[in-house]
Amino acid sequence: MKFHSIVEAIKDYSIVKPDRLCLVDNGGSVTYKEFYRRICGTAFFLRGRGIKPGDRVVASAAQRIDFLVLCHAVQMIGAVFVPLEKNAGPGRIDDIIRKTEASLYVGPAKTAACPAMQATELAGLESDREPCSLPEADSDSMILFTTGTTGTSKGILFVHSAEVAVAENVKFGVAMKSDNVEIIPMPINHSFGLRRYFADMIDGGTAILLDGVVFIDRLFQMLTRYRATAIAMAPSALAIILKLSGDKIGEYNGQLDYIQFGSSPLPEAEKEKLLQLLPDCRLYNMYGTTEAGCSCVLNFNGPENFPHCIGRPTCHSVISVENEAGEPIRSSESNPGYLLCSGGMCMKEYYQDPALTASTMRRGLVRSDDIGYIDKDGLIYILGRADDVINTGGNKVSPGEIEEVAGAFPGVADCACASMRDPLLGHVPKLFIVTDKPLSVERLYQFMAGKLEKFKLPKAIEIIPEIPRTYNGKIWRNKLEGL
Amino acid sequence: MDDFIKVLLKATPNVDYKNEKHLVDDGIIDSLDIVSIISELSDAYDLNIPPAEITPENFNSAEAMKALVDRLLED
Repeated sequence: MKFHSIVEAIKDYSIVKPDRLCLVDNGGSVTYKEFYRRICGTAFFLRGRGIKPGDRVVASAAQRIDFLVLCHAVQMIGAVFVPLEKNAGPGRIDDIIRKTEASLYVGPAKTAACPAMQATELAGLESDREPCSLPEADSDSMILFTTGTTGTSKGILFVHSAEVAVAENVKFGVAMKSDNVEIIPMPINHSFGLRRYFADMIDGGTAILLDGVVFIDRLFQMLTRYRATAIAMAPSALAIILKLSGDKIGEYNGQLDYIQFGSSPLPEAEKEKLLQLLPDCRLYNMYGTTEAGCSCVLNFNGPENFPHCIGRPTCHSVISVENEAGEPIRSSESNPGYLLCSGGMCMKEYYQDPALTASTMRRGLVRSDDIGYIDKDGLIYILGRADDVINTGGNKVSPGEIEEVAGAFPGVADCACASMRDPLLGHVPKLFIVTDKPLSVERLYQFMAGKLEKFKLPKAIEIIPEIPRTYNGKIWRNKLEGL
Repeated sequence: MDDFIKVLLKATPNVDYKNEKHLVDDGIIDSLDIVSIISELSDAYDLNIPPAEITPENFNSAEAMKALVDRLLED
């Protein structure tokens, strides 16, 4: 790896490409030199406030350059950055501050759990000097708290070299060209947005931070003004773009080098739409977990776009499969197992949870809750999350497969499948749908029966006003199972 | 205005449209809420909201959204 840390990459480019546009947000932009000066100035300030190596600093996210200045300033002085989602409530903020024994909170919320300050107090800090030497590759850099869609929120601790490794997974995975200009409309506190930003930084590219895509004109203004060559987004963002602006994204065919997706699977209908609108654009789906980031990549505008295929391992990633008992297996479509991932991008541990770390990570291998297999050509396939996969009378059913079929029926605007208890089969699938016009549930069922094996058909279909989702678009299945 | 708020509440049932005047700035409504509101307004008033009008200012309050709809209906 070329760099020991993301901040080292930023420093390097502040010297070799000082006037290169580094970051853009709603309020302005910075070059690499300007960005690094602000990081140094803020780092001096934090040291003056008594922040020491190893301290944890919690910050409420904002889709702004300031937030990333703070992130790297904290890291520069050897402290650990703990980003929180923008709308985290006071209870969540206090909980995270207590869990991490944070020395400082930066954000708009009021808290008595630790010393706090507003982000505005850090405005205008700059320095041409560095307060200290840059952090070592193996020192702690960041704790990312998961969204908790499948249980309690977990703190995942990373070291600097893992951030560089995941950045390289992305950079090489999307065949990033020099002078890349990437629009990132995803929350910059979350692993998806952060890791795409890291990739742009290690390559000396430009990252444009947008606060979502619903203010759709901004997206197209940024695409045009900065001649953006890439976009990184979740499928829910694409759905909004297509709904609000129709085929307009197709006007950027020829300008866009690639679009990369992640966080959740891209529905087939939208995949097909995008392939039609952007035939010359590489379209990637990046699979990974917070614990082992960006571990597989698939160019679904390429020849390996098979159903349920997530592509091949990225440059720092090694994928293997084990059974329920934790034994390595030779996997196949008829013999799937739990996917494991190893490589430099993996987490160091679950923060202060050695038991969970030991159950998830053995010999450097991070076990996911995803069920899948590796085919004879080395392609990786996924059936679904182990705790999402519904065991109905011994048959394994992937909710995603049912959702894909139901989603193609006219009038189904959104849908999600969850497990329902059944006295005979143990569990059976139940389908929840959101409609955008009147439809016949019976006809929907018949439509699905024509496409799915009998044991995969939902035993009940319920129309609800909204599918519960997390802020990054993932289906909140626990909430559905409570309905 | 009450009738207009009823339309908004179909999209976002738990929002206090009478008192909240910084819906976007304060994160009371998010991207998906705005998409739902646009759908409801489009259906209720049979209009199309052009992308250039989908701005934080136009969705920051019920009054702003009403002004937007009135303007589009005049055009």
